[in-house]
Amino acid sequence: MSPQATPEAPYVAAFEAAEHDGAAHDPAWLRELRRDAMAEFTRAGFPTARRGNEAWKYTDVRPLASTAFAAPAPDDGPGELDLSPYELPCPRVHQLVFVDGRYAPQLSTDPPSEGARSSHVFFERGDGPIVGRLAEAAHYDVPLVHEHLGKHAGAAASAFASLNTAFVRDGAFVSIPDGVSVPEPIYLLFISTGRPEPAAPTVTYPRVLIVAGRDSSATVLLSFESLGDGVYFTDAVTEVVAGPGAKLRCITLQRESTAAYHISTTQVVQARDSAVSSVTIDLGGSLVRHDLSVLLAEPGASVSLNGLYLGTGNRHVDNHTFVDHAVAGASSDEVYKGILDESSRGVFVGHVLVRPGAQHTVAHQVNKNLLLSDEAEADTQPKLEIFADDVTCTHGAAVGALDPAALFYLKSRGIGEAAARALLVHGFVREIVDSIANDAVRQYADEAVTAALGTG
Amino acid sequence: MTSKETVRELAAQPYKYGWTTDVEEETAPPGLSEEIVRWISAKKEEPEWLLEWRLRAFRHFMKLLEDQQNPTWANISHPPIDFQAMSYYAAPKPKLELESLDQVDAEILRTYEKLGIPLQEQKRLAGVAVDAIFDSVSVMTTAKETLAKQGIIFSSVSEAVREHPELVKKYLGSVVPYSDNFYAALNSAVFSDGSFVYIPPGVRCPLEISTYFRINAEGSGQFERTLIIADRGSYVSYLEGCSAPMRDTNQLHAAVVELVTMDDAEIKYATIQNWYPGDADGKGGIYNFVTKRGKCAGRNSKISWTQVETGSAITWKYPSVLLQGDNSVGEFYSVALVNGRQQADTGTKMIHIGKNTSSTIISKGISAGHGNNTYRGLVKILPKATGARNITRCDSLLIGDQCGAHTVPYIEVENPSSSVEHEASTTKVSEEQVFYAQQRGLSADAAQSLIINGFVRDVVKRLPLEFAVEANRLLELNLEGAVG
Repeated sequence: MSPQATPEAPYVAAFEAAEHDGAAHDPAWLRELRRDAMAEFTRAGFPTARRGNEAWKYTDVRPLASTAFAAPAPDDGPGELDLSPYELPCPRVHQLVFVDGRYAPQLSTDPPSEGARSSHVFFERGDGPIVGRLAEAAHYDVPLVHEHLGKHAGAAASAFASLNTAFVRDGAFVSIPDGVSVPEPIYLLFISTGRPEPAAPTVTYPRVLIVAGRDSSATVLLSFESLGDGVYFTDAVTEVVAGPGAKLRCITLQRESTAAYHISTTQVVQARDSAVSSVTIDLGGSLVRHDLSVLLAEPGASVSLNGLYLGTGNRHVDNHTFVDHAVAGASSDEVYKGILDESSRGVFVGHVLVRPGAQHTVAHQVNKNLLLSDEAEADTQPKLEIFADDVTCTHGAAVGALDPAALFYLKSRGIGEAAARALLVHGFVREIVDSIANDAVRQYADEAVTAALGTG
Repeated sequence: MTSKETVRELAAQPYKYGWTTDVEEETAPPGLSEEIVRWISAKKEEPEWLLEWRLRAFRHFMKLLEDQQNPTWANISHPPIDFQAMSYYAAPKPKLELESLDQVDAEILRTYEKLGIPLQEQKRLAGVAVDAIFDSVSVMTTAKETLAKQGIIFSSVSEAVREHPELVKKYLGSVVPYSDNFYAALNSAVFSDGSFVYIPPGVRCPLEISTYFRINAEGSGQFERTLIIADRGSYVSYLEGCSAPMRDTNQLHAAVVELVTMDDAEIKYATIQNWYPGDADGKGGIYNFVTKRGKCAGRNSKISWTQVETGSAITWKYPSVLLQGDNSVGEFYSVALVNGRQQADTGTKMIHIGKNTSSTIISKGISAGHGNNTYRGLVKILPKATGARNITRCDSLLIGDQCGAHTVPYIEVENPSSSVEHEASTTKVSEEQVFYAQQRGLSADAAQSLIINGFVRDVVKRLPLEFAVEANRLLELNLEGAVG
């Protein structure tokens, strides 16, 4: 790769090439959305500057910006893929699988089959969810997609969100019709082949749009997995729109390769009396950054945000959350926990904004970090910004090692040092795993966490 | 229960110290230049090394100014400050070497009398030694002889530069270098006066040492510099108070305070900050942009900051402690009250460097009227700080629905054996508590006052008695009639 004038230049070139090649059949509004996003990305650039760069104070993206990532080649397909390690322990799921950013129909259950791929998937609303490809939904100009795509995680989010939007071609579109309750999990699986050198590092732009109608209910699992341990870059954006009274549970399981860059932007918008539960579990990646924003736009909306991040090796995990109490009578509850071992670094910045007039807000936030090695580091910034007086807002943060008294207690009961430590660590993460309501998803996540923790 | 009326009433509280003293002053022409820096230095008959230091600071500041590196990260807003429009030196004339109180301008004496500051000889019995700073110069330092008997040096910085250059040279800028930040650079270039305290090894200072800062001249800034050194095993308690006349224009106060404690030494530093806050519409008032930092250089040493911030249009202040010596202790107790259009962005930095260092942060913010109050703090545990401990508690109280309370703590931990805990809460005065007090026969006002007293108690009880009384009175005065 020849040296480029700016780190953004290769992306501009790739954008022009992609728009030139195969964008002709996309609707005009989508092409415009992409073009605007590219302009925005070019304007903002990668957040590599250190000075005055509060949002990226703890996370240095220069290694990412200076790596040349290419789109995965079309013939890079995985061929036959054994999905059994990623199967959810339940008989029925709505499953969409993407491999290196491309839809893998042979691995997906939704849409039901190749033959059924037609517009009726998106327009004939029955008593089930609509789980389909974003590319097709856009192609058929599904009004909900037109209405919401790129409208929430817009330019204000970050340069990485703009970059994703600039390259949005495919992804998952999930729509739960009004009053529909979906008992089985909706499973969106993004697999990177992660080929090691000499394969060139690749970039994918997973995109998800979830629209939950009035009084609907569903569980969505977003899973990021890797088959190899090569260098690649996942730039994901998820937009979640919860209608009045909707109950939505979103779980993100991130298990990228130890050399991968994973940057995600999630924007949740909640209407009256909606309840959203978000659980983010980070077990992989080399440099990981999540920006999760929740707009509590109408009274009665409530959100619970839970997160667990596991640091080993040189992993850097940065969770930025922002809860915007825009109106009176909404509530938020947030618990993030980190376990940091070896030379890893965990960052948590939780910002809660209570806007003028947002009376009767209840907002609680806790961040706890367990440091297990001399080289590990935890940075935490629980941030409250409050412009209304009749509110109850608390936040807490703690950083420390395993409690020596608890360790001693276990050992005095005849439990060995390693087993005692493992027990305490498992106890520490239990709260987060248990916040997943769906049995199958919880069991699956629990196994993933247990495997990642090893024996201690 | 919140009534617009009481909030308005609250915002309309008169500022008691808003009068001016009619005294002839010598003022430097407005503007900042190398010439002015040299002029101030010459005025003070400073040695060459200090002038050089000032000039280095001046060049650094001008570079920052040119690169527009003025700090913008704080949660405050104000029009850009024109550094060429203000005067950097104002002193009452004639400036004599004062031997006794008789030689102090009678007008100035009356000023301090009105402020309730004991400069009079007989009041020295009150157990407080006072350095009185009027605009840019120290006009009187009391109880010097009593202190000198124990080897304690208590004088203005200007005097210390002449009498004890070796101490000043060694410690000036050792905790807050001129390159530390924008306003520290400005202060280092043009600092006028301030207090200098040195406590020799093993001495427990018998008096409370106090400095009272008064801004009087119009169109001038105050840039004082305070340096306190507590040598091995010594102890000193230092109090600082301040006020300024009511004016429509904003005045800049950019001070630097440096504290150093050696092995087993302790410094307690208390501030009651009551600069003119501006009127109810936010016109006028002092911009209080202050850098305060202590260094626990020795083992088992301790630095404790206590502040009650009720004044200033804008407060930008982070009294910090570098916990360098093993087992050293840092404390920060703060009450910040904003009312009217006041803005406060204040907090602390506790930097744990040595082993088994511990720090405590208690911050109580009260917001009323259209005020905005931000706690901003950093707790940093460096890799070598084995066994470090920090406990932070930040509480905010909101009175009225037009004010804001914000909490921005930064916690950075690089050592696994340390433990850091942070807790914060934001609420209004509990209606239940007010009701309970009222049904016991207290008026709504008295109930409110009682609850607020309880809210700030953890901090106010750290103050020396006279100051605690003063602090409670100030808070009560400012919140009279403000039923939440």
